[in-house]
Amino acid sequence: MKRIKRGLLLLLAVSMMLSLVACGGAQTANQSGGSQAAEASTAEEWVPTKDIEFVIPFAAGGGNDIMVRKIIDIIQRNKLCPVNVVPVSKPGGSGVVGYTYLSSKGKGYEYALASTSASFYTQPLTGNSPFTPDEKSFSFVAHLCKDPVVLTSVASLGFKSLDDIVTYAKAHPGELKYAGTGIASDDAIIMAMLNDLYDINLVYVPYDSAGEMLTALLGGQVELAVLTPAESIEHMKSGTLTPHAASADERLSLLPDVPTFLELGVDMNHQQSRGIVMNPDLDENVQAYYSDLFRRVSETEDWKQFINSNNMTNSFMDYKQYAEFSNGLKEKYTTYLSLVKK
Amino acid sequence: MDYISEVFSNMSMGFQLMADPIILLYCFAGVVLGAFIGALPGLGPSCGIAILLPATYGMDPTSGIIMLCGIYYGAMYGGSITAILINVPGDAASVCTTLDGYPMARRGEGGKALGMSAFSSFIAGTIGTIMFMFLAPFIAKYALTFGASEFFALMLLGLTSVAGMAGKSLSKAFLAALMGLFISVIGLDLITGQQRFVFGNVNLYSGIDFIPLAMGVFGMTELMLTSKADEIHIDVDKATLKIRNLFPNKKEWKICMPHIMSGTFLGFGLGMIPGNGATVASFLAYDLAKRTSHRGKEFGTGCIEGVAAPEAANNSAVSGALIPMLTLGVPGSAATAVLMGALMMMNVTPGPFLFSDHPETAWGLIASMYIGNIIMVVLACVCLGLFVKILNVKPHTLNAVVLAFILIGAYTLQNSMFTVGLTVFFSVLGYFMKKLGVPAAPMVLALVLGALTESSLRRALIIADSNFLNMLSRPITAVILVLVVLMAFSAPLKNLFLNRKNKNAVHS
Repeated sequence: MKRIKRGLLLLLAVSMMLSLVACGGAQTANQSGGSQAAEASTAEEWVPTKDIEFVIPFAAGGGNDIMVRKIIDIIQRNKLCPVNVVPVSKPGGSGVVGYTYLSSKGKGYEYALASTSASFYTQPLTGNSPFTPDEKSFSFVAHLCKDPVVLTSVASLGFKSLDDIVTYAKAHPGELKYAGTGIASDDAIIMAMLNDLYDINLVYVPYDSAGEMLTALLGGQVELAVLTPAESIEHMKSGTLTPHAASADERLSLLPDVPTFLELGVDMNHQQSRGIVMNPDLDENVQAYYSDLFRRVSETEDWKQFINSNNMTNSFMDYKQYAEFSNGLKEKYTTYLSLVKK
Repeated sequence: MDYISEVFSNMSMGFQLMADPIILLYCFAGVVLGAFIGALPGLGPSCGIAILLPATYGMDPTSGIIMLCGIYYGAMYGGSITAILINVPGDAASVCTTLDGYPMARRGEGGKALGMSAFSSFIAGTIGTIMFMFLAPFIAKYALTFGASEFFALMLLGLTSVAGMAGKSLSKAFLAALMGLFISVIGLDLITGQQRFVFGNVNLYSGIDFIPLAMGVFGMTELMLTSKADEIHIDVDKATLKIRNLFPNKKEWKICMPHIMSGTFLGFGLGMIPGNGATVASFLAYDLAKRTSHRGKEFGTGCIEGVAAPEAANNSAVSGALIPMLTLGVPGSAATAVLMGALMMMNVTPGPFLFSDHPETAWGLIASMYIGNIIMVVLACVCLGLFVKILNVKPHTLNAVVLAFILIGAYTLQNSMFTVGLTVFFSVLGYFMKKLGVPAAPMVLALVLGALTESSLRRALIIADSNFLNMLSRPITAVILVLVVLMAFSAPLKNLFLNRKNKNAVHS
């Protein structure tokens, strides 16, 4: 009896430890507070003195989660930061729960970060969150990378170019279905832009996950979708899908034969942007510190390799450039989202 | 013939890889960790893989993926341990296991239920792997014929199994199912983004997950009931703990075998379909077992085949779900999506060229599926006695520990107290439902399938230009819908028929 009790206790202790590791131990952050306010105001160059929380607003195993864990790995391995950076997983509400958690730390809080994604902009702009994606609610400390995508069609339809699609869509309004993930997502926005730029009527079919979307596309239930370069090259090689145009700043290394929309004379290079945000009203020293930290991350070989294997493009911006870029992006999202609703 | 000999030569390459003690160790570590994680309430396979993903950084892709797959099927089995012993399903696929597994444990037959669950998982996993090996290239395309309308029809078929969980009163089962369907609409609308029953609470945006509901109405409600009545305490004496008594006997094998086989094929076929194949498979396998077993009426009171069928289905669904992920690059479930992410990070792109570009990874993985299944069944046999002893612990001690497990599990779902509150709320709801004789399983089933049913119907309608007839003209959809009608009305029709026959018999 005693042995069983001990065993159960041990099991409980181990499982508690495991679940704490799993959720990243939000508790550790508040251990050594107190002195940091005084230090921040006196020191010329700001240096963190307690553990930093890195909020992951998306589910474990997703793109955002993997990226943040990789960044933390790079920081610890290269000893880029004197304190621990602790991942704090807060998934839910397409990121809104996580960003709200970040805000709950209070304005000017120096020890919590979060990574952005499309829903950082789209959720507040569709009225589904208590914050706004600008300096009123956040400080923008560093921009890291972009995810380019490729417009792809089902090969058996025989579309050879973007023009073919447009011509067909004009002749058959409402017939071509375009699959994407989510409602107010980058996928939906890119379609809204195509509809607007070419004056066509593609119909959006929202899916819950990229896997379901790909299934529908490969099974021919829908005709068009934007995919990551890696997804489209595999299926291009096997002859099931045809890539037509890349929504990117320049041609993609994986698909050198596919032109960009810009080359085709269409003003479109919309991509998901990934950056790091913190709470608003931060001291400039603090912003500069984090900005520099992420610059050093983005210069490591590990990071470059990660970016390559995930088919993203490196585009580091410091806190000043990022704030300006983000405001431009917010404008774009506002315009595009009104198109999605139409 | 050429194809088969090719498979065998590739297979021997895979087994040679597995002969490497390091890789074998990774496989073993994966299965053990997976079973442990799966046994923790709230942590399922996808979460387990995601947590342990960083541990594979720096491994070569073959060992990495073998370990992660070990976690996957280990967790699938681990989920049934808590489902049977303490009535807490670890993931959606093991909800059905609680229905007959827990009553068995209360009767002191927890060891048998666990043993049967391990053996049926093993049999299903092995057959699933064999089918995977020979059929994968041919049937991968089958997964693609399942569009939104077929998926909708399949979800409806899943919902018909509510009737199979009804217990005494059909109307009470329907009440529970409707409550579950209502909970499934809470959150942001999947097609328009409209807020539904959210009342401005950001925690409700992504809807209510089934895990707080299942842990509340199954696990915590049970705690309340057992803490009130100490006399339900089961004494597991030394004799029943003898290894021989922990394993299912010949008679039980005979009863279970056909259900294991049908569960295996059902699970494999449905596991391939992107979406929530494994869960639907386990529900349908349970329903099918209930309909075909000679003692179908006793289901829910601790019938061993009610454990065997869903466990077989959810384990062979694992092999099924790997097919579209590995051969088409299409992840069918949350767990395979995380696995696919892991493969991409190791610079192995799943898709039509995986088997030609990275044969060692692909075939090593298949070999590891055989060996992982063997490790799992051996592990289960060794630990069975230990697990069963949990039932010997005094209720007040056990209840406190289980409560702690459940609440920690609820917290880890979103790392927030909100899900903890939700679990407690559902446990109170579950208590009153139990007192009023309303079964909880239909509610959980309806929550799991409800959102998928709704979104796939609306998606299908967009694709069919809002025309139901266009949807029905798809042959697979039509066939499944006919099946739905047959399943839903078979019982009343049968009764009608039998009554008439009886009357005739009386009259003549």
